[in-house]
Amino acid sequence: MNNFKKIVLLFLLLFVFEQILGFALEPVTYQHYLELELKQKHVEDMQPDMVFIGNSRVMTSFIPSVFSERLEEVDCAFNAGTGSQGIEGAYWYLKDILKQYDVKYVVFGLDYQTFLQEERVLKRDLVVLERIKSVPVKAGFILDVFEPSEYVYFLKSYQYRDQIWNCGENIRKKLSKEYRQGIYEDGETVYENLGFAREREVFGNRAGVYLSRPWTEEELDRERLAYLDRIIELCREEEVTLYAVSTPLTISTVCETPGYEECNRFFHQYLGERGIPYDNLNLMEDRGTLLPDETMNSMEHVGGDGAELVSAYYCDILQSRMRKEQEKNRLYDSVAEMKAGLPDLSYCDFHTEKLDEAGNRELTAKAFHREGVEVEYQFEKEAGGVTEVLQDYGTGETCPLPAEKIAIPMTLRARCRVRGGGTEKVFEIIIEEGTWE
Amino acid sequence: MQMARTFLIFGFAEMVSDIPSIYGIWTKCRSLLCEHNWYLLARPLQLFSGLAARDLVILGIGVVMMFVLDILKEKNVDLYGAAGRIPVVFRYLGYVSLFYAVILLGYGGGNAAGGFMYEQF
Repeated sequence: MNNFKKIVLLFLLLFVFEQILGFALEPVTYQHYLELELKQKHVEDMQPDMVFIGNSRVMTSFIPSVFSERLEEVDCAFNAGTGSQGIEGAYWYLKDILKQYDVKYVVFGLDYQTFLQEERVLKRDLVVLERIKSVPVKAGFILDVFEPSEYVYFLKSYQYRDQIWNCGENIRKKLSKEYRQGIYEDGETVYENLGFAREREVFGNRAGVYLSRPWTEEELDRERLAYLDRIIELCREEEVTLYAVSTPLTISTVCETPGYEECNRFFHQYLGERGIPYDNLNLMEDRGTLLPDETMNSMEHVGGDGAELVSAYYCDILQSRMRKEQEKNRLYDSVAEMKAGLPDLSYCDFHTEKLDEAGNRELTAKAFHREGVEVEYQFEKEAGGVTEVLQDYGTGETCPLPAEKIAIPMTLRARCRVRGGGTEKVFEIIIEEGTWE
Repeated sequence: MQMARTFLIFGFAEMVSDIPSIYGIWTKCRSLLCEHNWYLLARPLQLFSGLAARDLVILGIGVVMMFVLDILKEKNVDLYGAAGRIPVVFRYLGYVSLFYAVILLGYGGGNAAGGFMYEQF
């Protein structure tokens, strides 16, 4: 065998091994289901005309079917959100989508955190790279974002080598009839349709105060911000209407994170100067009633049925905007206005602190409430199915928890209500083995 | 025999490698030789602590392979010649398998692609 044939044989073997290992090692991804659905749409002669792009907040907030059903201007929408998608990835992925489809509207999920200086997460770019179909766009993305030392990760065998012990499970899933038919297996996060994944879990009574990374203009990554301009420019070149939207965080995050107000102002001004409509859904009127923190899945993801509400709410905003009508759903301009519009009680900082070496602790509850409202608290402990009131309703924000009353596991509860009547809100902390270690 | 000797030399080097003074080395050597604290030479074994079962399996396979190759070498078996006699397709299959064994089982390059924030994507 001559050398040329040997080289061909070597590359052929490498290719075959890579394909087999890639199949075995790569876990089941949403991309498979999305592609099946888009192919089906193609068969039905439907082209996506609206696309949502952004990170997991977009992926879990916008239900494409709600938009295609409610918006007359949209026949088919799909959600191109991917976990932790960076702004660079959003630009290149969008470029690829606009090459493939005749899209009319792009909704860009603006996440403030994306623009702050931070360490790069390689995997988020690898997921986007996998989704890009066009070879020139793929090459552009690689040259723009990846370091040569990272090229080895393009081998799926290397990228997913930590999956080596899950090969059997991956293969079983991929060979199943359900997988081929595009039926998704259950989980806490459930892929539903056209790129949308629903978070099933909600905070419920476990809601607390969640702080995001403080925002300052000094920490703004100007290189990343430039990608926002590139997205705007790309949409202009392709004659696509671009909307920017921020999906809901918990109310406590919006109200308590330092710099959030300035950040909101900054992006309103930045996008306003460029003629891009921007809606911050954190500032929706009646937010405290429509989407309280108890209904959220995490600090930055809506949970349960929250996605339906967010999709419908934003749909109405877009509908009014497309028809140039008076908007039915209103958004406040500032966090201060939103705060003023919150119900009497919204969220509560409920925690325990160790007082001494004997193990005595103290419970503290501090509810966020409107000015002029006085809040009463009742503290309870539940262990072994028995609830004990540690401190009856009163205005005191602290309650002692003596060591002898501590049982593990147990649930500590703070009931808050406005003095003189009003809705009661309950907040819980679950104490398990290791919670206080 | 050679392996045992190498292990002892390596063990001794490991034992003294992080001692900052000559006096410290002297104390350790005295402890080893006069007080017969032979366990001090076994320090390289600490490298195995914290290894998962998977790592030990990989390590075991590697050690066995090296052992077999050593024995064949000692018996003057011409390994390159033997490899050359295997049909090209199978030989290349072997090379590619070894290449992927390193990719899949090797360490290095960090875990940049691992630990994804959201399990599903």
